[in-house]
Amino acid sequence: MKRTVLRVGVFALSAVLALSVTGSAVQAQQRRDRVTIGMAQEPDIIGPFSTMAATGVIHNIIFGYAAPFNEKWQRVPVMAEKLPTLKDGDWQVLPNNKMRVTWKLKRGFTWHDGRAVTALDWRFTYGLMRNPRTPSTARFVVNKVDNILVTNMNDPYELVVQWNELWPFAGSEPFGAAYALPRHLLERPYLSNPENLRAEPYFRLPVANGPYRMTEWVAGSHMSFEAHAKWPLGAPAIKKLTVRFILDSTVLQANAISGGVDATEISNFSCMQMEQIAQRNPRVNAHYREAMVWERIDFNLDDPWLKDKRVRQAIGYALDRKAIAEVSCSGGRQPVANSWMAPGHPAANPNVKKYDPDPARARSLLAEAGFRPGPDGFLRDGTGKCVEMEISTTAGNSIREQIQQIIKEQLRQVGIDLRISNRPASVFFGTYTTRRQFPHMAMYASLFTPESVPHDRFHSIGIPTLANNWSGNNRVGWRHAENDQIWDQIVAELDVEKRTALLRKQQEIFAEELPSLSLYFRLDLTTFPKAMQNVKPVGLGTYYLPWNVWEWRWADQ
Amino acid sequence: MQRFLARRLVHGVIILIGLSILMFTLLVLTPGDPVELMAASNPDIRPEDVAMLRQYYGLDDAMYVRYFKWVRSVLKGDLGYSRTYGTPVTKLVVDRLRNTLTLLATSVAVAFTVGVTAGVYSALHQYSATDYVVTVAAFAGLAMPVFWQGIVFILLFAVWLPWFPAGGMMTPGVAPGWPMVLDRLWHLVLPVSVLATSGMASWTRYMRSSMLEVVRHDYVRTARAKGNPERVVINRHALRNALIPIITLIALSVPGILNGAVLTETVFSWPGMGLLLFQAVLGHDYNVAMAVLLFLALMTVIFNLLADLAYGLADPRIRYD
Amino acid sequence: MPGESAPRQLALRLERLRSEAAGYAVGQSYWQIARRRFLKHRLAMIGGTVCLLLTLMAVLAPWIAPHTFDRIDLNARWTQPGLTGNVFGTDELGRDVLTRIMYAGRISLVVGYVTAVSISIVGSLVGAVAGFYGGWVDSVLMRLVDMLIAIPLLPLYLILAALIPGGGVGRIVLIFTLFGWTTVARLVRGQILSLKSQDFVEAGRAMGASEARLILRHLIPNALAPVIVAATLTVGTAILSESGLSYLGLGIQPPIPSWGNMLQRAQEYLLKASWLAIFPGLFIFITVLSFNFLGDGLRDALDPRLKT
Repeated sequence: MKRTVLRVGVFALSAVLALSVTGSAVQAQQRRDRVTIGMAQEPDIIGPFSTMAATGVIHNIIFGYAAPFNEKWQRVPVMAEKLPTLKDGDWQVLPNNKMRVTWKLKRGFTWHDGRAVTALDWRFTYGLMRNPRTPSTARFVVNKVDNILVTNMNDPYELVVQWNELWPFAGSEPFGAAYALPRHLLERPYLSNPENLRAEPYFRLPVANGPYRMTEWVAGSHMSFEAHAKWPLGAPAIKKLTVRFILDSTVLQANAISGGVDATEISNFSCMQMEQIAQRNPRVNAHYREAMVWERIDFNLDDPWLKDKRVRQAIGYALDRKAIAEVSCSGGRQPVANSWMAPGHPAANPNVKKYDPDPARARSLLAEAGFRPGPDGFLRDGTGKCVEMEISTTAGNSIREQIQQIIKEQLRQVGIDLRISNRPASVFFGTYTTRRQFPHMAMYASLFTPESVPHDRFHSIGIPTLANNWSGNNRVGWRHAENDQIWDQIVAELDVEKRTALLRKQQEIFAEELPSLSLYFRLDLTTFPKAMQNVKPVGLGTYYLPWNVWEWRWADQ
Repeated sequence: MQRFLARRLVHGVIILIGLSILMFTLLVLTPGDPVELMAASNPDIRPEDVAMLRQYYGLDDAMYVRYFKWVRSVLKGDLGYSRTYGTPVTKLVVDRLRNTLTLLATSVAVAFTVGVTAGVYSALHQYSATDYVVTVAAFAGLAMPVFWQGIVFILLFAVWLPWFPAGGMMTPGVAPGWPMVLDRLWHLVLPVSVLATSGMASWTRYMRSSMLEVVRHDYVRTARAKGNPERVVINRHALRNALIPIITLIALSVPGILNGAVLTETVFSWPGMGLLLFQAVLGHDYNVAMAVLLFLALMTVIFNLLADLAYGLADPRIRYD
Repeated sequence: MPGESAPRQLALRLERLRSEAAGYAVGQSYWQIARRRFLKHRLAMIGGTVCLLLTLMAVLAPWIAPHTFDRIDLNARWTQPGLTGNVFGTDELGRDVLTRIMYAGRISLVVGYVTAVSISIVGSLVGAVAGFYGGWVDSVLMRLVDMLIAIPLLPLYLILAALIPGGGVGRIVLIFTLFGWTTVARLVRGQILSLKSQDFVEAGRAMGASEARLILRHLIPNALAPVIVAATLTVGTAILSESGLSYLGLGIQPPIPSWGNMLQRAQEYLLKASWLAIFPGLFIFITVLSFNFLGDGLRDALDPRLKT
């Protein structure tokens, strides 16, 4: 008996070891002609009905874009001949504030089934996204467009976009859509049943028009792609691309270290994890890219304490936001935010009021606002009520939870008692913030692009109320006449310089009034092999690591 | 026997109906519906869009109306569409099912083999040093958080000693045939060793006590007295009888193993039902969550029934009435 | 026993029958025997001692913790474990890990103990009612039990965790209790079924005792032994389940520390600061192990039929 057990054990062990050797061999063998990108999120479906960031990465790989942002945050025409401008006259402002924008498309782009990509596909995409019967999720820009004309049906490479209102970014994308869908494949199901379009098999394995063709999607595991040889900007050097979905960020990190994935995007890594990867896998480049993710604390301005500007400013002075940014990402990599506009944006105003840590000033501002210290060291307001505030964020976000601890500690120093009460993301974003249910402070991030016009986030018209069916994103409840007026001007200002001046002025008001306390701008964290050339992270939502994947190549290739 | 079967079947159906009502109610009551989630992750969605999407997904109907709608389509064999993945639930579940079954079956087989061997050995050498080690090891196996064990294994055997892959089910693009089989097995080693731990541990302990009980029985003594060699006595008489309760035990531990599978699949990014269920619950994908949960319940009901029957076949003294 | 009053005689008779029902001869208390058996059980004694020490550590945390709880020191982040200063090192905010483990132990152990008690109460009541009344009450309750043991509980916990707001101990205990009482209910029901046909229940009935009184005073105490065992094992299971829920982000929510959420949080720093994960993991492991040893020993001691 004993011997049998021993024999079986030895056999099993050697089998397992043999397996580990052959297994590693299989992986090493395929290294050169392919690249594997690991992500901590898996798309729900592909195409415009998707609701997840991960889908954007896949879109970058399989779709050709009209004019993507490059790593300098400038639009570069890819499928369009050029970007229309007012100066060139292909973007015209008509009487009664309508506009007419003409787009010329490059020739030579084909769908992965061989058909040419034409203006008819773009017009079809417009119709599909505008139709209220399709479950399209992003209609904000497309709803400003009245109609789209194809100039010459026999040579359909020119689009005329008719805008029904002024929109400063009409020369960036034809109608708020970055890419087109194939009319020849989707028109029939669209016409017969637009409501159920999302269930079309097309959106599981789309025939697209980008640098790579999607060949399989093994749900829960990975997607595979093959280079599209007819990509007009040059056949991609890397023949095969794999995107693996590894939802646990620790496990994704282990894969980045062991070489199970070559690159990572949407990884949920912390800076700490990035440092570990760089340290343990010398072949990998850990890239920290400035992004436009604004991490801040929203104050509820309806609260009798926070209504007072001095209280908000006191909180600003009480916090050491540099230390906070450092906890989130050490090494001074992450800049403290002084307004909502990322410093990399040309309209960012560096001269706004800054709140350097100054607890004494915080205390005197609070005293001015009528607060007196009580016997326990915490402040009392005019009615004798202890100043206890509540801060909430998305439960399970470890960095934010750490920051809350620091904030609690630092506010205690100036006599404010902070209670931490977090909510799951579904509740936090479900009703808690959008219906302004947070009593005092809510900490979260907003994503902007260089073309964001967050009118409804800062204009008083965007205050969500029961009366307006909770529409708008002004969750702090900020009302400020001059600010409102500036926003009304910004949305209709087509001149870049005038718009920049308005935005800078707005940021000054914002920093003085402090409806939200900006903390820092989160970085966009990606990893990719050092031996891989032309990888240029952009750091903007919808433009991810593989936005220029056709240009990637191994150094020795 | 037939009456017993019929009664158990009726019970099974009642259990499934009850569960479906319970699950449906809980899922629907959960705050934050799918459309709100969608709106939260996309700044461009306006309240008008939200209202339209809610109507589109039938979220404004009363709960019982939605339940009966769901039941009606299930009875027609249509499990509905996954809201997240935009595919028919049936297809989604069948794909994942295969992966989970691979993981489960391998784990149960490993746990059973090791558990029974260790348990028998331990029982036959009661109070020896090995017995003690086995007993303590079995206790230890039950006291470890599953996800913790998984992450430690990944660290040990994928990062520090790069022997096995850190999660995943296959190397994409591996050639079919033997390389693929080997590749799958290679990916199975770590998740199976984690998922099998608790089964291994508890079955070792049960096997040990079961064996100890059996060897004391008369028929084993008789077999020995007849001069049979010890090997025959153990294998033919003791082992067989000691195994009977373990079979039932395996059936009963299916839900427990599935608990472990949810965590193991999450840690190892194993594209199985556990992971699917977890995501479905968090993402308010009711159709998927309902389908997976009811399938798991169905599996347990069937396994329990099989265990009862197997028990009867193995031990003719048992009667059903 | 001449001279005794009739009720007193009956009470004595009941006492004897009860002991007999539990398999013991009159004169030797069941609990006395159990105690003797238990004290001889080596692993159980070790387990019990460790449980006691852990509980003491948690209760006394505010007095014996080496550092101030949750004191943030951004200059002392990532201190390695060492014999001086921070024995278990410090975490990402410079907080002392040993101190946090002691305070987290309060939460984790409370989750374990309270879940054990509430599961025992709910399970005993349901089991007793089902076993005592039988008939359709029994059928309905037992189908409910069958239902709950037919599905893996973790997904149910997940749904409930998303459904019930808050992030404290009460919520976790409520979640565990709502679906965790089935084992105890089955055990108690089984005991009651075998006990209720026996003499002393009949005797009680004959004396005109009310049903509630019968259940509470006679049946439940008789079924207590397996409940105690199950409750002890539940302490460990609850601590493990909480850590599992924490891993999925739905357990006790920070800033309230629990061993489970400390472990979950430590994952991210596994490669940089493995001690952050090792110590909470170790404490969960030791605690669960000890309670299982204890529970096993109690089973051997309290249930003579299972004694091998």
